[in-house]
Amino acid sequence: MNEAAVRPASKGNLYLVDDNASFLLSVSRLLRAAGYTVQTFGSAAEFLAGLTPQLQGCVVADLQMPGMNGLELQAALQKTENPLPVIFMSGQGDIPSTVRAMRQGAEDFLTKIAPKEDLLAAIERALARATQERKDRQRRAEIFTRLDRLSERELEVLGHVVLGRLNKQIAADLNINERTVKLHRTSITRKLEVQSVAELTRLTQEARLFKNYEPASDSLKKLLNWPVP
Amino acid sequence: MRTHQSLLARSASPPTRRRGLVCQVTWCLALAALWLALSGSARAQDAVKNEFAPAKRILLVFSESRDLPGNTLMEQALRAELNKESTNRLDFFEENLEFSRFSDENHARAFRDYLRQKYSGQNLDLIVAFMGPNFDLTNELAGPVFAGIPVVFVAVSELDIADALHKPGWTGIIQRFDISGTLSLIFRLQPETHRVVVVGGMSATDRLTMNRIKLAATALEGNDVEFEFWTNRPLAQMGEGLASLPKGSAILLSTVQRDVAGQSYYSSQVAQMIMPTANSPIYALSAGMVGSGVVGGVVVDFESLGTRVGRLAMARLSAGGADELPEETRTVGTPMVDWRALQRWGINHGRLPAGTEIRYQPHSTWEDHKGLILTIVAVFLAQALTIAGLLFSRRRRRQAEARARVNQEARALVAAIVESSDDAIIRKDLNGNIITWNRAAERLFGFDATEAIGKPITIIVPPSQLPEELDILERARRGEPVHNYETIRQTKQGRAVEVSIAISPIFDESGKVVGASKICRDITSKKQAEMEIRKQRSELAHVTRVSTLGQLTAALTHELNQPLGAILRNAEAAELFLQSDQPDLSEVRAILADIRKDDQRAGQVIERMRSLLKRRSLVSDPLDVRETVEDTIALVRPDLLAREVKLTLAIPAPLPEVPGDRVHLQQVLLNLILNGMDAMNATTVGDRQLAVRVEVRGTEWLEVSVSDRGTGLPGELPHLFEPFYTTKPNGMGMGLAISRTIIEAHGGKIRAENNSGPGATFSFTLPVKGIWLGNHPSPPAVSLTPTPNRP
Repeated sequence: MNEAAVRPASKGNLYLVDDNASFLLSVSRLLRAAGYTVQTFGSAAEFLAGLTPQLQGCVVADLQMPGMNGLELQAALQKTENPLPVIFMSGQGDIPSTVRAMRQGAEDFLTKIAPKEDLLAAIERALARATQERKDRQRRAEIFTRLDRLSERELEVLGHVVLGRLNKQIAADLNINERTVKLHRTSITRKLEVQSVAELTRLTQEARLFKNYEPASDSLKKLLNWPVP
Repeated sequence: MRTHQSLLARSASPPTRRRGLVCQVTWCLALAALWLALSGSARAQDAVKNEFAPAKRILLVFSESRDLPGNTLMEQALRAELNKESTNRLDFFEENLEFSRFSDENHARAFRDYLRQKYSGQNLDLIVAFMGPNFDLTNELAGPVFAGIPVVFVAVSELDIADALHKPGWTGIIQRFDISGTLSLIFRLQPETHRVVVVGGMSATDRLTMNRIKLAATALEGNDVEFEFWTNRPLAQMGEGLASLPKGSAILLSTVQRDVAGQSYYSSQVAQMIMPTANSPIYALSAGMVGSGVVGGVVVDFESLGTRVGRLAMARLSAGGADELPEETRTVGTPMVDWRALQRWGINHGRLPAGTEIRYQPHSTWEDHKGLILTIVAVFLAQALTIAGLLFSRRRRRQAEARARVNQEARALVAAIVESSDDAIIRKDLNGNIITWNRAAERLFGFDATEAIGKPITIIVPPSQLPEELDILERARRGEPVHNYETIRQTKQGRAVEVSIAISPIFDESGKVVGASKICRDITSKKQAEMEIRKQRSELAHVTRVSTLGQLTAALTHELNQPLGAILRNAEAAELFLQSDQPDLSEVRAILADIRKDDQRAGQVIERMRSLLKRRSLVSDPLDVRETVEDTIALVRPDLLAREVKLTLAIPAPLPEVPGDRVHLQQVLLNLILNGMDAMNATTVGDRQLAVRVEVRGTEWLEVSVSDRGTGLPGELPHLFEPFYTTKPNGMGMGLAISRTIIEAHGGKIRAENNSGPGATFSFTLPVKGIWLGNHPSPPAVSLTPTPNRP
């Protein structure tokens, strides 16, 4: 893994999982030649044992394997903090398993004798998605780290601010001094590292898009229109 | 033939037997009649009486009532004895004094006068006096009327013999009580006795008896036995005391002619009075008391006493009063017990001394009418036996007649059948020379009977089969038959015919083998039909195999795509390597080697399928069962994966080679494995397990089994292997039927059974040595030539 980070020529990291050794070897040869950093695993379990949150790249797995099969590997991966994209390869693709794989969010589904171009294109797409998802995850983490800094009252004030209300109105609604509202607003912009109200609104709306993230406090949930139980 | 003769020989015996039987029956009847006659005349025969001689006149005088039990018995025995011995007619007179009841002197005198008047001038020949214990009657018979008439007296008494009894012409018997005998009986019947209460009276005789008992008791003292002598209370009050005796007591009843209150009693009365209240068994000295509640005692046997008195009287009559005869005393009595009293006191019968007379024992019908019952049964038996014997002999005669008739008809029939048979029937002697040759033999082999008879059997045996014919002859000599053996014979023209032959040895009367009969059936057309069936069967097997493979195609595509995919990727990688500026040629070489390997793999997959798809008939080759099984599993492996079935394989390390057809056995195994997988469609994924096992059974069999954990088999198992029987919605119902045909052609058996847990097990056996039936419709019963495959 560290080795992968060091080599500058690499187009990305690939993890090949297949119980058929000769096929595994042939695919790894091809993908290395195509410029990827490749690691091979004889079974799903072997791969999952080495999985860490820092791992980047894409999984290329055989659909039919003894023990844990491809679909089960994907399902297990989805439950971890690092849900890498998965491309399936199958000796023969039957419809039910294809549907299941795609529903679970498989990046692609290829037969083992599919042309090289199809395989490489699928890998490109998967890696791109993986990169995007990673970026999203980082951005989300960043935004929520900032939002978590706000106090209950500040979150309440922020709720009114993003609706475009004036300080006077906010003071009246919350039954506090207008000066106090101003102090809160200053504190909010400082803590969220923003310059303008427009920026503040955009950040809040962005946070609402991360449906997979659960806000820490109830006030924050309310602010983000998160369904409160 | 042999059996018929022996049956005829046997049928000669019935007349003798019948005679024997009738004799036996007659004997039985005669014996029964004799026995009847004897039992009818079992009574003692009286002496023939001289009608002309004067009758002997005998007076019987009783001091008490002659109706007392003892007196009655003695009188009857006496009369019987006299009647038996005397040649004269006998004239009896009887008188009763009844002293006890009329004891005053006036009565005695009146009785004396009465006797004197009544019998003066009566010319009595003998007087028999039945005296009481006090020797009553001594005075009554002493008067002048009776002077000179001999007297025989009998008395049961303990008194010393009175002087008055010593008179000329007087003799008699004085019987003493058997006191010590009775005491012994008490201790014998009740060994736990510690106390004996002796109840007695106050008359002179009573006191005397008591003294004798005391004397006998002294001899026993110190043996942990206590004696009490009760005389000093009225008999009426005696009961109270006897009601509360301690455990281990016995009561001995002495004589009580008169109690302390002066009341007189008969001996039997006394027992009756104390019986109801006594809490311990009562014993007595006198036979008169037995029957009135006492257990018993060693008592006077009045019958034998009467007989002895009779004998004495007879002697007196014959001696005519001339000789003096001695008086006799006797103290040895007869043990006598009352069965009812034994029961009441719970005394063990086993303790009774030998010769004990048991009175009042209930008799069974058998004991009472033994003779009659035996007679009736004997008569019935005799009659039944006679009837049975006559019926039996008639049946035997008829059977023998029928058999003789059938025998004759049978010979004619057999001759007709042999001639008209469609099978060639030939007899030959032990040297292999033909003796008979029927019409079918002429037709089948082309030789006329005249040509064949006398020639060696080898004229119809092709040279290649000669050793076989020698073997057959050898078997015939040993008396062994050969059944349905299929082989080849030849005609006169040298054309080979396929025949099924059966050979039975022929025995002479002494059981010696003298030749053999041989039945040959032409099975050429049957063989052709079989060939046709076999062809169709193989066709059907092929169709089924193709359809089975059809089920596998999807999985096989996967199996094939594995190596093909690897080849493709390797080729693509090689291209990329070669495009680079400095291609790594060693890498490219490795790639090419891998491509070749994968190509071979793909080839193997195709070959496995192709061999199963080829149309072929059953052939037998030495077979590596392990390889066959593993190859079959390789075919279904992708299916196992796709359907998430876990397969375990157990094969023992050294496995004998088995002759068989690899492709067909694979077909069977494939079928069983696919069935097992289908049966587990509804089973939870983790439980879908298929176990394939190969086991060696003994030295002769190999068993291959496939166990699933699926739905199991429905009830009607017998149809399972029949064609068109299927439990699957789109099944053809041919798989198991074909499997059975294949396994049976290998000489094995296929069966199915439900597991004790979920699922079913299908298994088939294969003979290790191989009973190869591929080219035989049925197994040859004997392998005369050790070549399983004939050309």
